[in-house]
Amino acid sequence: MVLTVAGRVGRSLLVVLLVTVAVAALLSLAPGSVASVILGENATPQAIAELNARLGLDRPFFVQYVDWLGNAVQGDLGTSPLTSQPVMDAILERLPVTLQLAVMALTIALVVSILLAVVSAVRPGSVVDRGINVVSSMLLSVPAFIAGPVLIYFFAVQLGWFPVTGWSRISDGLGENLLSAMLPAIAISLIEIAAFHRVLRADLIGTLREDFVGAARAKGMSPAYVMFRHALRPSSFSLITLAGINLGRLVGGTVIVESLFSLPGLGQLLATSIISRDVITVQGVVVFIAVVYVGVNTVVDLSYRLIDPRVRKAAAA
Amino acid sequence: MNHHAVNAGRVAASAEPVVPKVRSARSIVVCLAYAWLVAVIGMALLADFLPLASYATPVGTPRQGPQWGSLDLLMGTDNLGRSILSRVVYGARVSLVVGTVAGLIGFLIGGFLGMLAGYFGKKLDAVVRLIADAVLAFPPLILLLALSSILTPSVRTLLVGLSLLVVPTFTRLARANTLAWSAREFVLAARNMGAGHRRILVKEILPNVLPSLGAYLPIVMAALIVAEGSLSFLGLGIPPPTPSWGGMISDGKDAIADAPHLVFLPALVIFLTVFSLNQAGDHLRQRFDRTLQD
Repeated sequence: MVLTVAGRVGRSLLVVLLVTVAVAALLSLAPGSVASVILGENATPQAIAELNARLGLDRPFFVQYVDWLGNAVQGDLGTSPLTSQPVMDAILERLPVTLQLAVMALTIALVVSILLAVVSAVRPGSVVDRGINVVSSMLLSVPAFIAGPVLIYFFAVQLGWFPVTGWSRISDGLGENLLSAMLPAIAISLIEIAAFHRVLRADLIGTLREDFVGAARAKGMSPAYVMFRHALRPSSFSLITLAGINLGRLVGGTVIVESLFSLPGLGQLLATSIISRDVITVQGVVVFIAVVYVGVNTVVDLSYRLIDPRVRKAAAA
Repeated sequence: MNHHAVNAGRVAASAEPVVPKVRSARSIVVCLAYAWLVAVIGMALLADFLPLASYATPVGTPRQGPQWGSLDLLMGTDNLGRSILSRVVYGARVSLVVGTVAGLIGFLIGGFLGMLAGYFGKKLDAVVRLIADAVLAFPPLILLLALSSILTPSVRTLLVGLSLLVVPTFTRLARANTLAWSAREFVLAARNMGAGHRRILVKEILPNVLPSLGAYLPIVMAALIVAEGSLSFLGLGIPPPTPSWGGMISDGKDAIADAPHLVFLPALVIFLTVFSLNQAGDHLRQRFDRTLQD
């Protein structure tokens, strides 16, 4: 057990290292250097060379990378040459918005998909199940850049229930904050609902065929009790895994929604720094997101073994 | 005929027999999906021969609603008075070309790497898996954004980025399938008869891996079309004036209160295309992916 955990963590660290090398190498190929971004398009080659030397950007790639990595391990991802704000500060400032969106979207998706999956699994193949399946495969084909504008049109423009765009901080009042986050969260959650429903429905149908469910029914327990107390828990492992992994993915995956609703999150930071060619910020944010993503995946992978005894046994055998 | 075979397999596998009506209901959706795909591909191929206005020049006043009478105004006009129908049709080219070409490149490279990794195992396998994991360590859109920050947007750079994105998916699929197939008796038999690695890979394993890998192509294409749409939506995809569906939604979204058709029409087209590709993919996978049937 200890060995598998160490192996899994070591592998993830290797992946993260590879990711940082790749990002650094990629960005060192960028056409406009950082110096030319700071000094503007009319800068003389001499001035650019001087600034590059001052920023240490004229050193060999490998030296720069080791230097950057050494700082990054200590939590210093460099300073944006455009805003002169440390990249780590900028990330931490925007992380709560993105996290709130991700958590809200996943909560909505979990609640709705569990309800749908339970209704589906009661009578697989019935009209209701087929109807839900059609809706679910439709939702799977609605990317956020479609869901967002459509939701804005109906619920913000037509009905006026929600603000069209913009973000209210929690300090401005929880109600305002939730209102401004609701439409973006729903836009993100639609695809997740479909994915969760597919997974949980299949697992539930499998569990409901097991002997212990038959035994529980034979004892005369109500269908609802059997479904929620007996069947739901052992069926939810794949769902929990998927939800965990998607939480990691969403930390980087809300770019579209953030830029559409103009929310001050991580994705918007990335999008704006790409457009302004702020290579250092881009590098910091991308590495941060990748590390979070790999980290969450590793934790989910390992905790899966802890939650489900069957996996532990299978791994040991 | 194949439908019946699938049906029989299903009935045998599950305790509760599946009602045939379920199959026929789904088949209608699948048939409609294929029909839509044929229509979109046909429109994209024949765009130059259709009696459409240019996608770059205005045909009337801006933001007209959909109306009968003129083909160019059938879907109305956009912010600059250009025909939305024409832009949707020409936008289909971009989406389909990007989806198909990047999908096929990923299919070829990923399939090749995955088969080698699955067949030879050991160190090669470890290296290939590590690289695949590293690419998958980026949320997809983030990888594309990082690429677009250093490359100037064009169809070519978009293809490079999107291909890179799907290579690891196909690598994993091909690896898993190859692992399963190389343990089979007929591979052992071929080896005992003196067949070399290359012959075994090409003649014995490839024909078996190909269908299950190919069945994933529509689903990957759907994901690629969404990815291209997302990039274009952020203004980092195909540069204007070439129309792309994602770009059209992005252009129209600020006028959504007055002229919702600017957003809804391209959104509907993307939705139908992605939905059809997903349906086709599910259908093909049920028929050709062995890992789903076992």
